[in-house]
Amino acid sequence: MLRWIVSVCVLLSVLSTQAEEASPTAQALYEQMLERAPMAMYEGIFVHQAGNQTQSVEIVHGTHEGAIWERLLHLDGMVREVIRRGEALYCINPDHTVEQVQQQGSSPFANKELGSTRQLSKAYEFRSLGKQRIAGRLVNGVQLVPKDASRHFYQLWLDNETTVPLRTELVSRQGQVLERYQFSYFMPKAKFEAERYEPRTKGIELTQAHEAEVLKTTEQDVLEWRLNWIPAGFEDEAATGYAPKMSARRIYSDGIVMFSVYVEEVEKVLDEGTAQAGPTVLAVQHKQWHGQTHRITVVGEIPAATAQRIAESVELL
Amino acid sequence: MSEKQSESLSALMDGELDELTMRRLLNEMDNDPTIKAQWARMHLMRDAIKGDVSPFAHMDISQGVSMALESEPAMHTSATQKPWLKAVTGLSVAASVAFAVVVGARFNPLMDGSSVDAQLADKTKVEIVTPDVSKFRSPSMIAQAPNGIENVDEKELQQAQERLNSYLKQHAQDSAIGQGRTAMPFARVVNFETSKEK
Repeated sequence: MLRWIVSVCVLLSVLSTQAEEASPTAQALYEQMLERAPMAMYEGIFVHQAGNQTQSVEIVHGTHEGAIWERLLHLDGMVREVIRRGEALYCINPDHTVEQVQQQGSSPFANKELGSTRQLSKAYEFRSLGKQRIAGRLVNGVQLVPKDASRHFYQLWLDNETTVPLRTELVSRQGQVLERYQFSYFMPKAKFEAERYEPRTKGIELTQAHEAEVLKTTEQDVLEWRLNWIPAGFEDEAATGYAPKMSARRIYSDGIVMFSVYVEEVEKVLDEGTAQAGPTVLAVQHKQWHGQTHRITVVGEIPAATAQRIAESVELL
Repeated sequence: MSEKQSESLSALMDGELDELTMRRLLNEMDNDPTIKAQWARMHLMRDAIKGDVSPFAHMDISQGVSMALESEPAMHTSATQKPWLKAVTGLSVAASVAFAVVVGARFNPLMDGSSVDAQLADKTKVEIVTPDVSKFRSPSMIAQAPNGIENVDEKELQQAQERLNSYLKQHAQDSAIGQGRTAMPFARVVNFETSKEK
């Protein structure tokens, strides 16, 4: 009798969830991911593929007292770790040195949340790629189709249970996969276990670094300049972070990919043109303003032609 | 054909059958033509799925496999055997069966066990190479003196390269921080950083 009641309950709950989730739109799936994935608790191993390079990385992700905790361990080659404790981010290098790349409350984005669907829908159409199986789990595919030729395709396969992207791909308009993150092992966790987030590198103490040791915030723009052309949907993130000496940096994002622009005064022209490093393109140009040579560098996960056009449009004020 | 025999056949297909069960299955195959037929069908199905239906699908090579097994050196199967050793020997049997199947389909004469083993030993030898990581990970040399520009020395080019690397690294870090959801984009940072260390 008990068994019969249980099976009826299971059946009812299955039916009701099916009714609720009557094929949510691709955009709704993406929004669910934005909300739920950062708070999900899981462990896994993912492969990062960029160009013809691949590497495996172990990840432990969860939340502790409302903050995101994370630990990444590179499994191939030299031992490297990235530890996240809320906003504080540490890189542990193979020589056991610890570099704190971000301090509590020092996010260059001033806690501005990137990637809202409001921003994204200016530049992309959401399209469903249907259900698939990745890392032994049921996933829902979502494709971000660019509305213009100035950016790449982006596609994600979100875990049906946790909404965590189990595969993320950046694909050129010619269909070439420029970058891929894919889980080969994924296991949701029920509770937070602090020891799983401790560095695997022996003898490492994570302390809040002094402000001077964290990558410094420079004076607001060393040089005053503006972009005369910017692809639709990209917004100035008004990031005020570290930039190499004498260089003015700005970051732009369309909600999912970013490009950075650096402008600096140089004595000599050493390099010019574009280069591809995995998914990231670099475009370097030089311009003369006020009798002084200026070097413009655009770095981002955008097509080379876009990067060049952005670099060309820089104007010193 | 029993369910157990069917399971054993599947395991044999996947190369996961232990030696004793395989010998028993081959014996049973001699007496039960339905097992043989099933074995042939399984191969046909697999080939059809893979998209290449073999003209040799109907061939009966079980006898050849039996012979190959008989001529193989006896395996240790005592109870004191270490588990890892069992795994290793199990693999070797499965592998030699696969090898014998290929040889049979090509109409080549079956080799005696020892030479099959020797060939397998060659094939399964794992070479452990420690790759020069920096070589693989570093982005291609980006900084290049543009045509028509003179007086650029090696050191200046190196500096230009380092500057580009620092921009790449900075950009990757910003992307990871800006996304806010996960530090996964930090995987990119490593690519750019390793070149700095060499």
